Amino acid sequence: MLSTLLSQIVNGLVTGALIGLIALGYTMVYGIIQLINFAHGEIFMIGSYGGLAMFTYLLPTAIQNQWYFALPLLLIAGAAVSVGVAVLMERFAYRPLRNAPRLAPLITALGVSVALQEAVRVFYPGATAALPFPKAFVEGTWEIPVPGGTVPLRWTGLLIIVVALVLTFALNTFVNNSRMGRAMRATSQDRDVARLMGIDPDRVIVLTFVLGAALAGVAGVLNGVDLGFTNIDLGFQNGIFAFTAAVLGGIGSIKGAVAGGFAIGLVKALGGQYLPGGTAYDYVWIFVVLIAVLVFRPQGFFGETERVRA
Amino acid sequence: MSAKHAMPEAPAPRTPSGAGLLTASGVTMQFGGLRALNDVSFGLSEGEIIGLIGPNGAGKTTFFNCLTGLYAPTSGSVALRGTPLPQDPAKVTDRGIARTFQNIRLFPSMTAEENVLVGRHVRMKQGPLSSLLHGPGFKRSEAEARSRTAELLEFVGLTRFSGELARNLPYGDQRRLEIARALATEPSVLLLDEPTAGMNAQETEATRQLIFGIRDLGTSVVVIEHDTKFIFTLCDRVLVLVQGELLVEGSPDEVRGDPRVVEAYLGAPPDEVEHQIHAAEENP
Repeated sequence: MLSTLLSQIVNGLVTGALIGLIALGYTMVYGIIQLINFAHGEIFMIGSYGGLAMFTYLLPTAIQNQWYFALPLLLIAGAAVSVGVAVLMERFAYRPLRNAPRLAPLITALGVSVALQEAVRVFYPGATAALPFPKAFVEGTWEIPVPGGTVPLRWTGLLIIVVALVLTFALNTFVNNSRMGRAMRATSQDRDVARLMGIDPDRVIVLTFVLGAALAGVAGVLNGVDLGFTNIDLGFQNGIFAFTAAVLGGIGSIKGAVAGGFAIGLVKALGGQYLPGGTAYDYVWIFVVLIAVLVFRPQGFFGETERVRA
Repeated sequence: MSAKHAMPEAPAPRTPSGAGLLTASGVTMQFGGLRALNDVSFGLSEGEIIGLIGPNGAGKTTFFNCLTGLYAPTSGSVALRGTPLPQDPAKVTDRGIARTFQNIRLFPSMTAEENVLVGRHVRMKQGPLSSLLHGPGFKRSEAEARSRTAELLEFVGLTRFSGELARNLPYGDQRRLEIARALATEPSVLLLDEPTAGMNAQETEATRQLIFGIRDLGTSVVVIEHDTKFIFTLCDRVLVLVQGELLVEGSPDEVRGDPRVVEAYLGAPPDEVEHQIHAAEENP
């Protein structure tokens, strides 16, 4: 059935765009300080609670159902909360370990991840269970006619794809064609020489966390309005997918993170539809693909082979 | 930061001549039990080219690291135009000291143009919002940086490699690109660490002309080099560093003829020196 195939491809693209947005944070932080920031999934999750808090406690009822006011405000609130938490995390958890053996910040990242999840559970009212996320104001589906049926594309799904592509393009332009973007790349290639060019590595590292967190916060809110709820364990699940996407695409590479995201989304959707075991096995297929890539192309789609450093 | 104590038995260095631009007073650098630099003082004037020579391990690169804020000297101080330099390489660059490296350290996965643009970092202003939205201020700043970069690439003769990744450039051109990147910071002092290492005679000559060109544009230069012929024909003054101490300082002619230099530097009488230099050039 063509419409089934196309529907699953559409689902895969929506999931993939969301995962790609989160994967950008993993890949950028790794590129700068060679840290797999396992708490990044929690930054995504916290972004959704930031958006929810904006809607629940701050947004005047009058504009709650006018999506063109409400949605941008939710996205900004989600991004702002994620950025705030990420900046504190960098300052107090990772910066003191900047020159420690690499295992120390990695374990710290796992600790931060658990701490953030529990902090939301304890302090956000009602977060002990999944909380309904406002979605009515962007609900609706576009039934795309194809031969032999239609392919449904939720407005929120379309929104996720468009926002992900626009933000990735903006990020790529920033990193390649601006003073601080070049400073980021220079720092990731040789931090000492970057300092000798007048670049302050601390500022660059903070900026990297800020950009990654802003994207994750936006993704958190978009995921909330798409699913219609949010939960504290969403960060862990999507974080694992996004981390896998970053590795798949070549960790450190921006286009790799997005390509990896789409690859994972498509494997998840199509594997769940066509492979034996159905959706119960979609995790299995994702990690089979990851293992295959790691065996045959360890640097990922767009990764560079390990550089020899002085 | 103790005051400078001239050790009585040490050969008294001349009063840092000029003392105008860059001065180091009594710089001592101790790594555990190893004294890499002992009470080194020197002065660099505007428009001057100084050579720094000495055997391997004499502390030449360590001295550069002290001048650029990479190392904090155990004692002594470094000042630019009379103001002490901060212990932060990024701020030292901002103040006007730039350098290149003995083992080339370009940003390998950036193009030649981007490497030089990174050198513009301290001379550019871009607001965060303007950078994201490409406002008029951002566009002006990018255009200015790119045209300055194009000029510098032309100055060192690398225009044709502008879009090439730094790691793909021929070796000699990588050294020139490092110089262009350093010049992009608009330094008043340029420190070159073995700028002709691995170059053939033709490239070495081109580098000499390039350094004269840099001096003529108003940047003073300090050069570390093993190729003594190169140093003696390039520099206004030569400093000889041996085992962390400043042994001799003077004009190329004075230094060349000084028996202490010949003995310490090559451990051989003068007539063998030329021979050894030739041997070194033939088997690098």
